[in-house]
Amino acid sequence: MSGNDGRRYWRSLQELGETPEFQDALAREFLEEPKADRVDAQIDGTTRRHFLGIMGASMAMSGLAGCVRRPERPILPYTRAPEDVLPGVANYYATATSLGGRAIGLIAESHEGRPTKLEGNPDHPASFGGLTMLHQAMVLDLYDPRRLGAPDSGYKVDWAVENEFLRKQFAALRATNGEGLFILSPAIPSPTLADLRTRLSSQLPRARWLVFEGVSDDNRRAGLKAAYGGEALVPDYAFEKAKVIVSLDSDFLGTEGDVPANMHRWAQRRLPDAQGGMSRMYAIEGVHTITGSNADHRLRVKTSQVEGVAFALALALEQQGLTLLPDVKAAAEKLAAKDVKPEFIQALAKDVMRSRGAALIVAGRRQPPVVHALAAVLNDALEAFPNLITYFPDRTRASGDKGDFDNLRELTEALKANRVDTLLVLGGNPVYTAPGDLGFAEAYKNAKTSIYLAETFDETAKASKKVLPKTHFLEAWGDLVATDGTVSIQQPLVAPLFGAKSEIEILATAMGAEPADGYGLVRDTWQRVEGPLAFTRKWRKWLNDGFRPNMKEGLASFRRATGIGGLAESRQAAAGDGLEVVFVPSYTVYDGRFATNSWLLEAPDPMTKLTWDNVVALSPATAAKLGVTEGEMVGEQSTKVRLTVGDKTVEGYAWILPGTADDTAVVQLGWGRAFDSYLPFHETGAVGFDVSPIRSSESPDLRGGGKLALAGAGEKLACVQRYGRQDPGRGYEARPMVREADLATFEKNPQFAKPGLIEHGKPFPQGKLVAHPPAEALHPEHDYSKGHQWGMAIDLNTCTGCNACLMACVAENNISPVGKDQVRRGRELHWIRMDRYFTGDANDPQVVHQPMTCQQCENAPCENVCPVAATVHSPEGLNDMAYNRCIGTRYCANNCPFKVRRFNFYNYAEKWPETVHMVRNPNVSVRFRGVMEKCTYCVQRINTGKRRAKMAPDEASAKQAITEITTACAQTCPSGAIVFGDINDPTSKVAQLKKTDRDYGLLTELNIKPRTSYLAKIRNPNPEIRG
Amino acid sequence: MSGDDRRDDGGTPLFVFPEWQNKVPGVVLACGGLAAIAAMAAVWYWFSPSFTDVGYMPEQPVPYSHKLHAGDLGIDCRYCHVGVERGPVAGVPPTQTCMNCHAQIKPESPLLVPVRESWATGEPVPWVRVHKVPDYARFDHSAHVGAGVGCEECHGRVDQMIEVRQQQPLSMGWCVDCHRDPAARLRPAELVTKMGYAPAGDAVAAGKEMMAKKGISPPTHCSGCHQ
Repeated sequence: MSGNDGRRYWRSLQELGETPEFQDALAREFLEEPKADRVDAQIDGTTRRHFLGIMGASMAMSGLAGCVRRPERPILPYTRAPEDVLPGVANYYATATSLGGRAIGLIAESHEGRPTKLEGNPDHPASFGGLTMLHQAMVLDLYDPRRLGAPDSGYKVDWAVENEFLRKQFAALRATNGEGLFILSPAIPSPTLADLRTRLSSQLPRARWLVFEGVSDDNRRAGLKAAYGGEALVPDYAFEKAKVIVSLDSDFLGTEGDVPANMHRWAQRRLPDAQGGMSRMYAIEGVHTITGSNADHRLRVKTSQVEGVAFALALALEQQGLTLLPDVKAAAEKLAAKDVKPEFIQALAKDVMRSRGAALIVAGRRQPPVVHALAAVLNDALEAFPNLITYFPDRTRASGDKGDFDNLRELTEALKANRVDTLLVLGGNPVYTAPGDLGFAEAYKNAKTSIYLAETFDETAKASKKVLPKTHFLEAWGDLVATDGTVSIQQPLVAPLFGAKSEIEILATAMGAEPADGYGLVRDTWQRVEGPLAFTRKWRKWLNDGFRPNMKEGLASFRRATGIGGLAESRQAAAGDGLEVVFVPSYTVYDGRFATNSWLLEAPDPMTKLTWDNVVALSPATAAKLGVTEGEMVGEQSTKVRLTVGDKTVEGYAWILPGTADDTAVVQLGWGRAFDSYLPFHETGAVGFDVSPIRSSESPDLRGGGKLALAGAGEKLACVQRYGRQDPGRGYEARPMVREADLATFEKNPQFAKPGLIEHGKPFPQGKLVAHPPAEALHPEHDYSKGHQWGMAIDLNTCTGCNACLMACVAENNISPVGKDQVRRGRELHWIRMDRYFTGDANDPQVVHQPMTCQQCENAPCENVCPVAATVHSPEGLNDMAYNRCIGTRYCANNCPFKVRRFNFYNYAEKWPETVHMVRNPNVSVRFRGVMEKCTYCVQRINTGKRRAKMAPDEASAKQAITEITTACAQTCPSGAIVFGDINDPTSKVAQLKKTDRDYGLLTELNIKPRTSYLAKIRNPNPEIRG
Repeated sequence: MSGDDRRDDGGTPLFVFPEWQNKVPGVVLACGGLAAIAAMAAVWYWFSPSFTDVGYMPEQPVPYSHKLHAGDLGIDCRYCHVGVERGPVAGVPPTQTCMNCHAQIKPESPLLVPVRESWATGEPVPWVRVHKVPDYARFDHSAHVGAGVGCEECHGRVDQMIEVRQQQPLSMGWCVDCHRDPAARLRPAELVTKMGYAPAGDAVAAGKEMMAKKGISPPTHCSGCHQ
């Protein structure tokens, strides 16, 4: 695909190379030839002959159907109606959850007591109304049919017996003051849990409480401790104030820190008209992250080299006049990578110094402590601290806590030495997440009594002597502190579905604490903090608002960084020969905790666009070197490889991800877990491969000396961006889907993105600016100038490609996952396709993310070809789709120039267990097999909003109800890139955005008049850096 | 063997098709056509909701009489169907609502055993659904009641029904008829639950006036109901 300035955009190397296989796939209607449907026949047990037989019989029988009375259906009302629940009207409650130790405030939607959808709490500082795709999908886990105690789980709990057992177990430990009691806890920033921990340590002083997260922030804590001393700290970055952002291998827009808040704040300054000027972002990284893909300049170096580059930057900054602390200077002279792109580093340093006080250096989780210390020292010297950074105490750790992996090592050693009498694991599946070198899984069996609080029957549950069911966060009371100290009460929306209890309840019971119920425990904690005076009023207000206000406690006294504290000497020497193996948390299953969540398993990885699998990601050059040739990658076949580090080997599939550093193999954590499938077209079994065996607790994020051996052809992977494209020739090159410019060009020519200005068939800069002859509609056009007219604007500048919108759409619109085999056939049902385009050098490309969904064309090509008028236009500009009228000819999908219509090939949702059905939105039809489906602009929300407006008592609240209408994707987008509203209302944000210079529609010269428009991407490169 | 080829003395064949048989193909065609039309008409009528659904009157677990409660006693519809003005579902009342009165009135009645059992055990009374629109169609009571569509327009004279029966087909054609021209079926909002409402003057004119005043514009496009 070509862009407005003539550059090429491609989604896969096959497309870039225009390989014959790719051309062939373009020409085909189906990804697989129909004969391949033999496999389907097996799945269905239906052959063509059988089908025709059934068909004939059902035609004959259908006559009789009219004679049959409809089945009796009961209506079961409440016996005692709960207050505030009106059947058919959703209720919304504020609650909170945490992920990897980071709390976030939520608004949960409940239908007759059944939570169905999560939104970010707009007033919560970790959310600003946005959520990531992981948060969006959490609600599905509540209904996981494999949860302990679920009807099919074969597990039943008798709490009277279990409570007695717990009490006895702990009482017996009193004799030894708790010697031999180990508690392994995930990082949960809960004051009540911390309080129980304190009480436990006075009750059983010799008990050990160990915190462990497989995706660890140890490096950051250690680095900041070296720089500032004192307790563990968490930085909170004010990206909205940063003019220059330097990411040292940090994925703050993807998986690190409070991602929704980071995205929200980052986006404020990514607009060309942002106050104080658009920010410029540099990413120095070896893994191609979401953050790197959104940077203006991305320096592709090996992950282990980032440290050297960071020190080189320190030296360059000193040359520009920054004073370095003596130990930093000494370390920099020794460690700086002086030969890595010195001109880039110099230009970067100049830019940073120019924006001193508004320049921010962010060190990433995978970097060793010294890089974090260095970043802290530089931020301090550059006055980024305290202007742009606030340090808060890390609420997931108590004072004196060691790092995650030291904790796990201590426990493993105690287990091996048979010193563990009772091991209470509060969740987190450590048997799976533990790095392979520790032998934790083996040692785990040595515990005399191991008690595991499990949500599903996972690896740790299987290895434990006692398993107790743990609540989902929507079932339990709790409290969570956000990074900046804002407290949220985690309010349950539903009583435990399968009789589970929360970790605080189980712990309190074991300790014999009173009260031992979640509500009592949490309320008690806060009553002690606040005092009894008017407590109930405050408590109710927190529950209503979702947080306790005014609790921002930054680094108590302002202090200067004192240096890098000798870390330079203790840094881990990287790596030796061979491949550098980098371990990253998965964008979709995180550390494996979501590996049973079918929504997330089917969500494409934002960078590789793979579903249902993880891979060994290699750069094109490295792949070629290792013999993972492009030829083998063509088609959907992957290359099977064996990745060896030290004496351990894992087997998986190799994949070329442009932008990955050379001689680097990037592997995602969290895969290889069994998905006990409830999807009818997906087989139960391991999804992807587990990389824990080659992970080391000494260096959990990075290992050197990896060897990659080819092991033949691999399985077909399910990648959603390897087939099809938006420009099958025929002059499409003159109608760029993606339009972008750099800031200087944009300022010179603000109209660059406008439609019709590009001469047909010639790239923009060379071609003359002429208007395309206007096309005319076949039929008289409808007058859309009256009433509400819905429209959308998507800002490519702030869209990071994070997939939150895609997942919000799945949750809102009852979109069924279809399973790996079906995705391989191109049958995924996601209404939003997150297009990820590469452009430029195949090894080191730039990236554009473009959410593509139904454009709601006013003159929609799909409508003209429907033989049964199942898709027609509404007077408010929506391209309506009546599922019950659709007969499945798929002409519409064929005629859609954006390929955003999805055909429902099978009745994917039919065989779901009862519990999974409960997650569905009752306001959206569940589509049956044989119908076409697509984005509706969340018409159920529009209808609800319009009804609210009609019933509003006055004009102002009616207007308010209309203004509040938004789609699920727009509501959750953390960076606010998607804006929805009434384009006929000149005061609406979307109407104003559509008037801006950057606004452009797709294929407007065809006179299709799309209602969704895009705001062209503006990059802000440093003019001193070439290429 | 070929047919009868005997001839009379004049050589004329003894057997000829009688002349009337020339009409057979025509008659067959006509009858076939008529049969087809009849079949279509039969399907049209007997397979349509007007026939299959109208008059549906299932037996309820409690012989609750709307005639007694809504008609004779004059209890307003909204006393039990509380959601009708505020939500999409009018709602079947919780057992609690029954017990508000029946804790005092006829507390021993054998007809009320299921209600008292439900109250004691917490198990709901399994009422049988009478009115049902398909899952793929969304119907919102509050929108209709708010616009001034009377209960009886769709549910009939419930105040005269001992057992509730379906009065209208609730088919798409029937819905759309009114959505295209609702004026005659609108009434002032405060009279929505009144049974046997008869407007004083010209109903259509009054309805048109209400439509203009309240901005009533019932949707006739797909996503108005199918979402």
